[in-house]
Amino acid sequence: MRKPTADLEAPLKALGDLLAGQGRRFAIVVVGGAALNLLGLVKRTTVDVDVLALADPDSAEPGTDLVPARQLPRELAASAARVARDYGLDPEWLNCKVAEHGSVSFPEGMATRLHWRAYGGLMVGLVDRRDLVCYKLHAAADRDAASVHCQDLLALRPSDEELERAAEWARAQDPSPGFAKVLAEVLERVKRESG
Amino acid sequence: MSRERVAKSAEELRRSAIDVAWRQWCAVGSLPSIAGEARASALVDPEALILLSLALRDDERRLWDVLTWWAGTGVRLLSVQRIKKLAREYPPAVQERLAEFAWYAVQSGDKRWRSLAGTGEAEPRGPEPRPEKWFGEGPELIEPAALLLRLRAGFGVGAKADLLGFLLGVDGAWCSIRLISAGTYYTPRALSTAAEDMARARLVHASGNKPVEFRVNAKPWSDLLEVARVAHWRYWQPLYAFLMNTLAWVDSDEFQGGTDYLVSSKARDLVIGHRAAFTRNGIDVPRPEDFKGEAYLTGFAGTLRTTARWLRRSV
Repeated sequence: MRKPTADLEAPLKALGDLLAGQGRRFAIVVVGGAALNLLGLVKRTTVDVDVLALADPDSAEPGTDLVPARQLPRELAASAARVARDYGLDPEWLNCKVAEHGSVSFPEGMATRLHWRAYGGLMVGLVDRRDLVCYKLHAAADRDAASVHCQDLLALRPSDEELERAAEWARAQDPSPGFAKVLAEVLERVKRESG
Repeated sequence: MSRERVAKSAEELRRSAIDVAWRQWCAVGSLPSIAGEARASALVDPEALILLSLALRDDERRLWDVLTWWAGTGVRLLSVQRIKKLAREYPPAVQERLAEFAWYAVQSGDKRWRSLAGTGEAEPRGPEPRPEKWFGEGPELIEPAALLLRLRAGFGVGAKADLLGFLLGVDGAWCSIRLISAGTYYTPRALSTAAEDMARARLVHASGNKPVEFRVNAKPWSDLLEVARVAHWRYWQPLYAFLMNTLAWVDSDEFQGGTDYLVSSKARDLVIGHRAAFTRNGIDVPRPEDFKGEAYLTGFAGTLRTTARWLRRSV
C-alpha cells in the first residue's frame, strides 16, 4: 500500500483546523481520486475532493445516516474557500459534483465500510476499495473506456467477483442500453489488462 | 519556530512604530528629540499620528503625556470628522482610547470633540497625565514635516489645506481625485469641490484631460513657505492601521493559541486587507500568494521586518 499523498493531507488538516477554531464540526464522505489517494491505493496528484455524502459528526457511528451531498453547508464552503486561497487551490477543490445532479445511491453496506479520519473539526469518511470499484466502474462507463476513471479502476486491481458486483450495481444506476454497451467495453478492457 | 520568528519581527516592528511616533511628535510639536535621533522629515498625518500614539500608549508612557498635552494645545488643528473616519480602521481598543483623548480635548474648550468623548459622569479619561511632562504653550510648526498642520493653521482645517499638503508632498506629480482621496481620506466629492475652487484661484493646476488631475509647482510654494524643500507625502494611515491591527493580534490569544496554519491564514488576511499600506508606499513585501499554507509564516515575518526597516528609513 502506498503512502497517502501530502498534497491532500495539508488542505484537509487546514480545513479541520479552521472549523475547530470556529467551534464547528462536519463529517463528509469522500469518493473518487481523493479517496484513492488518501487510502494509498493510487498515487495521482489531485486536490479535487469529491464529497459524496454528509454525515453526523457527533454520532458514534457517523456512517449510519448518510445524506447525499447536494451542496456543502455554508460554513464548510466558506472555510474551504479560505483554504483554497491559502493553498492556491481551485476554489472548488472541495465539491459536490458527484451528488449535486441527479440521484445518488450507495452500494449496499458501504456505510459500514467507510474509513474515518479526523482532521480537527472535520471527519472524513473514505469510501472503501470495494465500493470505489463500483463508483469507478460506473464513472468509467459513464465517460469512455479511455478515461482516467478506467485507469483508476485498473490501479485498484479488482477481482472478477468484485467487478461483477460493481457491474450489477452500475446497471442499477443506469439501465439504458447505451450505458450497458460502454459498461461491457470497460469490463472487457479491465479484465484483459488486469489479467 | 516560524511563529517565534513572527513574534520577534513584530517586536522589531513595535519598536520602529514607537520610534516613528516619537520622531513625528518631535517634528510637529518641536519637542526636544531623543538623543542622537533625527526628527521626522516626511509629512506627518496628524490624525493618523494621534491614533498610532493611542495604540502604543501602553508601550510608551510618554506618548500619553504628549497626547494629553496636544489635547490641550494643538487639538484645534485636528479634524474630528477625519479622525472618526480613520479610527474605524484601528483595533477597538484605539477607538476607546480616542474617547479618552476627546475628553481632554473637550476640557481644553474644543466642543467639537463632545461627540467622541461620550457623556455623563463615567466619561473615560485614561491614565492620569504626569504634570511634570508639559511640552510648552503649543506646537511651533517649524519643521517641514509639520506642513499639513501649518497649512491648516493658515487656511483652516478641511479638505483644501490637506489637498494642498498632499499635492505639495508628491513632487509636483499630477494626481487624480481618487488618488488624493486615498491619501487624505476626504470624500471625492469634497475634494473635487476643493480642487476646482483652488484651480479657479490658480493655487493648483488642473489638467485638460478627463478625469481631471491636479498638481502644484512645489518651488514657488517652498519659497513662500520659507522651507528649503517640501517634505514628502507618505500614506501613513493605511500603514499605521496595518501595524496596529497586526500588533494587537500578535498580543492576543488568537495568535498564541492557534495552530500554525490558523496563524498563517490570519496573517494573510492582515496583509491582503491592508495591501494599500504596501503598494501606496512602495514597500516591497513577500506576496502571500507565493506561499502555501503555514509556509507563509516565514513570508509574514519577512513582511514585518521589511516594514520595520522601511519605517526607520522613511519617517
